[in-house]
Amino acid sequence: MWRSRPLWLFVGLLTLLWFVSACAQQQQEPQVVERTVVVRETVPVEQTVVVERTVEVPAGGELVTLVARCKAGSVEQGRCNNLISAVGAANAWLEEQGDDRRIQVKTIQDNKDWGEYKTEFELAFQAGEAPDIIVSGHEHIGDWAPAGMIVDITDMLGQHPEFEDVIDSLWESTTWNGRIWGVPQDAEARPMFFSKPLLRELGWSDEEIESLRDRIFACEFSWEDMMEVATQAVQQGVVEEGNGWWHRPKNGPDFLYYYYAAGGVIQDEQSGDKLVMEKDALLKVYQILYDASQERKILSPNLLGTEWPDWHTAVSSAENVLFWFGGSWNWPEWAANYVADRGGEDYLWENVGFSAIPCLKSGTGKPITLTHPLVYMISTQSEYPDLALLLIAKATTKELNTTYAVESGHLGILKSQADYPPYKAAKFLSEVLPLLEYTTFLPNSPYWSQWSEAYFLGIQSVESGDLTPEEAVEVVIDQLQNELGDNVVIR
Amino acid sequence: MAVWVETERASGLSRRVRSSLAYVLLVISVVPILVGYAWLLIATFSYRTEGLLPKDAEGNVGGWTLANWAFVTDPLIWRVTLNSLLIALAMVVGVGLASSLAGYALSRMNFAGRRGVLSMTLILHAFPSVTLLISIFFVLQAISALPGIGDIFGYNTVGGVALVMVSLDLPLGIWLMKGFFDNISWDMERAALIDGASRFRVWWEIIMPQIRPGLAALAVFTFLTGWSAYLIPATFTIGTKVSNLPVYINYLMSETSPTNWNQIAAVGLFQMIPILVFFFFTQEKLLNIYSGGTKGGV
Amino acid sequence: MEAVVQEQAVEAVARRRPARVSLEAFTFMSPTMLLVTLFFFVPVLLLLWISLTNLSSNTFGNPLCVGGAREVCEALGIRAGGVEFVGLSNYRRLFADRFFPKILRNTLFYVFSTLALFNVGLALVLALLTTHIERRVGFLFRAIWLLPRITPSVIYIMMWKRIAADAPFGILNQFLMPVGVEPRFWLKEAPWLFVIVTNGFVGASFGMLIFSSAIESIPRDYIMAAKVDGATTLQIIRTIIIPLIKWPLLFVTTYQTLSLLASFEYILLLTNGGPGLYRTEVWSLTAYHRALQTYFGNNQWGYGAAWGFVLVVIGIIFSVIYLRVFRFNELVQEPKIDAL
Repeated sequence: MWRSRPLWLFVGLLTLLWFVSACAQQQQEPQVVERTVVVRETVPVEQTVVVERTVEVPAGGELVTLVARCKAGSVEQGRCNNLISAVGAANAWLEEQGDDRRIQVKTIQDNKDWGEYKTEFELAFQAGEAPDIIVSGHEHIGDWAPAGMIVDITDMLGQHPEFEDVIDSLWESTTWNGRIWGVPQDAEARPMFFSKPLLRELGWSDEEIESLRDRIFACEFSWEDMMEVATQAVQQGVVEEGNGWWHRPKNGPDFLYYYYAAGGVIQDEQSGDKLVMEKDALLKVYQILYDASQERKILSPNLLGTEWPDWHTAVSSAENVLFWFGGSWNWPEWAANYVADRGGEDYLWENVGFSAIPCLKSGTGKPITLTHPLVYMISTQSEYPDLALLLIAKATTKELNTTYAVESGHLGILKSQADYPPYKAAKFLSEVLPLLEYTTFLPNSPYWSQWSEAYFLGIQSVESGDLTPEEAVEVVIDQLQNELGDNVVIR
Repeated sequence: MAVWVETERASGLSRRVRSSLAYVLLVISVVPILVGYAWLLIATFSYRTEGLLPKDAEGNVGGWTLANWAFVTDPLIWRVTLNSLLIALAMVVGVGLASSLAGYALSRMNFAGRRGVLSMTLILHAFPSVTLLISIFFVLQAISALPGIGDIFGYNTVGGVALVMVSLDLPLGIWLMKGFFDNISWDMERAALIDGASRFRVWWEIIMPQIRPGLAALAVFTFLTGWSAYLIPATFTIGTKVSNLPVYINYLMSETSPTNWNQIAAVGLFQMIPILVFFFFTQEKLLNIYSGGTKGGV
Repeated sequence: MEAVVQEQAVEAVARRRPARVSLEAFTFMSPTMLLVTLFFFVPVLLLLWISLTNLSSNTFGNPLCVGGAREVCEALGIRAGGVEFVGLSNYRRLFADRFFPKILRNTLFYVFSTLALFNVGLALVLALLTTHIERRVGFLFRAIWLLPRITPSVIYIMMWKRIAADAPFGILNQFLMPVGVEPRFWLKEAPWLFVIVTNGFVGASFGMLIFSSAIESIPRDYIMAAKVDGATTLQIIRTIIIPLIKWPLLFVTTYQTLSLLASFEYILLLTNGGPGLYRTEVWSLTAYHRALQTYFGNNQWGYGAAWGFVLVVIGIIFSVIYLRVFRFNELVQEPKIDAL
């Protein structure tokens, strides 16, 4: 390989070139003075046209570059792109107000893991290089607000009427310590899906299958009923052992609604920042999972740790699993990647039904789901928080948000979207929307992460059969107290 | 020629039996490896696989497709490939240079602390670099504060990432290089030194050419490290400024990413192609990589 | 005559060497020393310091800015955040963790079984086998065994996951079904087996290469003589080959113990410490989990650093023990040129 010196020289030269170009690139970045921004203009819906627009800075005015950071998969590019699209409206507003400043946006958008994405922001903030706007899970407010990393926008919201259109309950998710720290960007719901062909095989009539959705909303079909039907299906051999009821194969926000459904409270006014762990609710959750995996054999003890692609393959075909708790964003994913050669979305409509998570009779007795909104937050290192908020306001419109929602399979966040024809035209989204009535959120607290890790540890160990529910409760409480000390209240 | 069992007196038959037993054992031992690669290859050309069999929508064997390879038409993949290549080459140059300098000194010179440095290279190896990440961040941040240097080697710079990656690979590099230098006769070197040549000239003009096979072997391994680097570029830059193939694969595998195994397998195989080519041409040197550093300092 | 002149010249060189040598050695070592200091020594000291603080996502700030230093930091414009000195409380928490003994046991089990079965054991067998047969074929097998090492970890583990997957995806099931074995989710049924095997298949090649070159350098006469005396293959291995490759054996054992202690990437990708209750969680993986990887991203840097630092200490203890056994002084015998 390295026979000759020329080759060495070549490699060295190449490396040097790379270095120089990389460094040059870096030094240029902050000083982009290019005054042309690409704007994606929304014509009716679904159709986007790229228009180049020149930002004209009045004499003596200032061109402000805002940096926005988003995590987005391939169909979620609208997350940051909507901010770019809003530049025109934002600058027009500034002109109207007689403000001499003009905005342009630079976006950094990729699909890092959540944990890494969050760490990145914290490191960047420490180094003084935080972006102006960051889009992240609302629960990160719990870490970033107390750490002083994001701006309290409560008193600034009034300047922009756009924010009045945001669905009221979503603001709950951006509140910490009685103040608002972010603007909702998207929302979703976590439905229970069911396989129509397997129910039919179990002897259900078409009518029964079609009415299941509404019976769940009315709590006529409960979580307990679901487990009973799943048990039948396993006993009659309609599905294999362990395939009666599935939940997600990894840790995630979903598991918290089990605790909520069992009547658990995680945060209340007395507790403040501290989190609560209620033993009764915890035990109930673990008993259900233990019962399902160890006694009834409807939930495979091996489910946790299954790979996502295998999970998607198994559920999306509607041939293997009877009931499964998933997410609304799964739907477009299944259509595009898992059943594409079987008819895509049509196949799903024909074979898969969905509704809220059925009510737990022994718990709250209400159907439930959980929403995990992503929110726009403004870094306290931003020199122009007012302009950042202006830009966010102009991106919070039914036109821009609907395009995004339809493309990405997320729910709308605005009241006006419910009657907006392009949104209504998206069948799946409008059918998921009613679930929001039953929705819950994660808590915004710096201790949520540890709480969730301990809680999940218990779930893992009862499902694998390593511990009984009672033992698991003891282990989890012990772990929580060791990890959080005074910051958790055990009841 | 077999090395250690060859004997005139053993009967042909028993020799054949014994060596065919060796073949059988060896073949069995590599089955899992070969099966793994077979799956990778089959998966990339099919919609879904069950075991080693590709399956079509109805569950019958078949369903071959090129769809998983559609990503090669995406210009992004070529950009990240180029990045991967450049990172790997930078690693090769950086680690090669620093560790052959240090390896030479450790092999040929006597200086205070030499023993300490040698045992250190062994102990450094025991540090799980990942637990050092956060500390390294603060070091990089301190470097960032230095005027001039900070813009090139600080946090969120390509230079900083390169420095960290080279450093973490140094212990292995030094150990291997020292072994290779130890194995080289020093007659020529001594003559040159007596003639008044500087150490540096001796190192560059006399020793380095002799050590090419060792450098090549080290190059292959550092190339591999650089080619599949993920954690460090992802942690020390904002928005993965250094976006390379592993970063690309990681996004594909991310929870919210709409991809299936077969698409990931295709990108994985794509990532392996240069490695396999590289491996094919350098395997002889690779197989010799450790022969140097094993007999102690002799 | 000429030799004498040369000797004198050498002595002259040797006499004026000390100062020059140190300077030269310093020059040669400087890039390495600079990098190692910046990115190993300083970070390790910082790690120790961080393990004594409450550094985490929501208290994030410069860990040196605690107590009285806070004002200095603020004056310098360094962000102090909410970080505070908490003494040994992270270590207390670590030792109070009810899974601490289990994780320690797992770690020792993992390190020593992988070491014994694969990284040294199988490595030796492979070295013996590949040197036993036709040289070029042996070479080919060694090359194949090197493949796992050069395969990027994500892809390598993906293959193993497919092999050990549940029906209908699993390859192992497909092979075993015709023999009448019920299909199973092997990765869940026998997690340790696969953790050890995946690591072992990567680890074995290191020892294999070292041992085979050592075996190849054993003078042929030794073995011939034994054969002539009627020694069996096993006797030859035990009485001739093993004693002659003692150093490589010790080296591989040392080096691989430390590698395994620090390694976690394959376990992370394969089982992530599961299934169930920390069944395959090892020390370095815990350090990683605490410090870096939680689903919701609250990183406990301080607590993670405590786990990391204990691992560093364990690693150093092992190194010191091994270096004693290894008789390190022999290993670093005086360099040639300066001894002339």
